[in-house]
Amino acid sequence: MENQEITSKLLRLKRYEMPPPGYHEKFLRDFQRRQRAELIRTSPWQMLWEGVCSLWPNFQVPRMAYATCAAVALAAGAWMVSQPAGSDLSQQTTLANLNRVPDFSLEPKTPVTISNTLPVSGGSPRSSHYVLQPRPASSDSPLSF
Amino acid sequence: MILGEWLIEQHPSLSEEPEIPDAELVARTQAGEAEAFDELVIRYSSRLYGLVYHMTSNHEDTNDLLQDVFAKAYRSIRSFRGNSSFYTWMHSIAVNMTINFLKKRGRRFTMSLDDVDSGIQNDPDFLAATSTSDPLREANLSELQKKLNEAMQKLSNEHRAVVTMFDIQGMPHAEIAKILKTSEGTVRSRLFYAHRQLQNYLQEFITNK
Repeated sequence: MENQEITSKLLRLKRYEMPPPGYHEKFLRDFQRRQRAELIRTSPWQMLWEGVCSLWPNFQVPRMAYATCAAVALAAGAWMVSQPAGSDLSQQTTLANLNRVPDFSLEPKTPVTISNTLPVSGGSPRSSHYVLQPRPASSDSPLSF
Repeated sequence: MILGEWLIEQHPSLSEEPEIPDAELVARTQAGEAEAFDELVIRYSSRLYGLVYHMTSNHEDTNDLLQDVFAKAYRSIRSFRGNSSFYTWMHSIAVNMTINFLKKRGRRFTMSLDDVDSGIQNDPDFLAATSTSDPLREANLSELQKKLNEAMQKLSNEHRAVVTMFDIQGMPHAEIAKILKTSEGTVRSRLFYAHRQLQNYLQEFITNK
C-alpha cells in the first residue's frame, strides 16, 4: 500500500511537465488558421455528409457494408451475364446459328447470274492507268498559278 | 472527494462562477458563432493538452492531435445534445482519438518531452519523495522525468489513459468511467493492474531507505 502511494506521488510530479510559455495562445491562432484553410478545402459534398452525420451522431457505416455491396454488385453482374440478350425467338436463332457448321466448299451451289445489271458507262472497259507529269511538282515556282 | 470539490480544485476559475457557462458557449457555437468556440478552446486546451501529452510522451504529436481533437469537436458540435457535460464530451473525444493514434503509431517512436516547471522543487510530494528515497535524491530531474515517461509508455493504451486521468490529472473514478463509457469497477481494476506494473518499472525509486 505504501509503495502504491509513492508511485502515485511520483506520477503526480508529471503535472510539472509543461509546454513552452505562450503555447496555448499560439495554439488558438493555429487552430483558427487551420479552420479557415479547412473551410476552403472542404467540398460541398463533404460538408453535406458531415451535416448528415451530425444529425445522426451514432450513425456509422457498418463494418461489412463495403464487402456486402461488392458481393451484391458481383452477384448482379453474374445474373445479368447469365440472362438472354433478347426474346426466346432470337435466342433460338442465335443458338441455331451457333450450331450450324459453316460451309467451306469452293464450288458454288447456285450459279451466279448477272442479269438485270447495266454497265456503268457505255465505253469499252479500260484498265486504270497513271500518267506521270512531265516535270516534278517540286520544281514548280511557288508563284506560278 | 466529491465531484463538485474536485472540479473547483481542477478549475479554480469555476469557484468564481465562470462569466459564461459552457452550455451557453456551446449553444452559441451551435448557432454558428465561431468566437464562442474559441472561448471553449481557450478554456480546455490546457487540460486536454495534459491528457494527450501524458498518453503520448511527445510534444509534437500532442500538438497535432489536439488540433484534430478540437477540429472534430467543432465539426460535430451540433450532435452534442447535453446528455453529458461538455467537459466529459471533450475528454471522450480526446481519449478516443489519442488511443486510435497510439494504435497506429505502435511501439516505435521517440519521446519528445516538455520541460519540467521549476515549481516542482517546492512540491510537497517531490520533497517527501526525495527525502525518503536515495536514488530519487541522487537522480536529476530530467532523469526522473525520463524514467516516469518510459514507465508510462510500457503500459497498455487503456491503462495509460486511466493512470493519466486518475493519478496525474486527479479525476475521480466516476468521471473517468463516464469519459471511457465503462463502469467504475473497470476503472478501479485497470488502475490496480497499472499501479502494480508501474511499481515494478519504478522499483529503484520506490525502494525506501
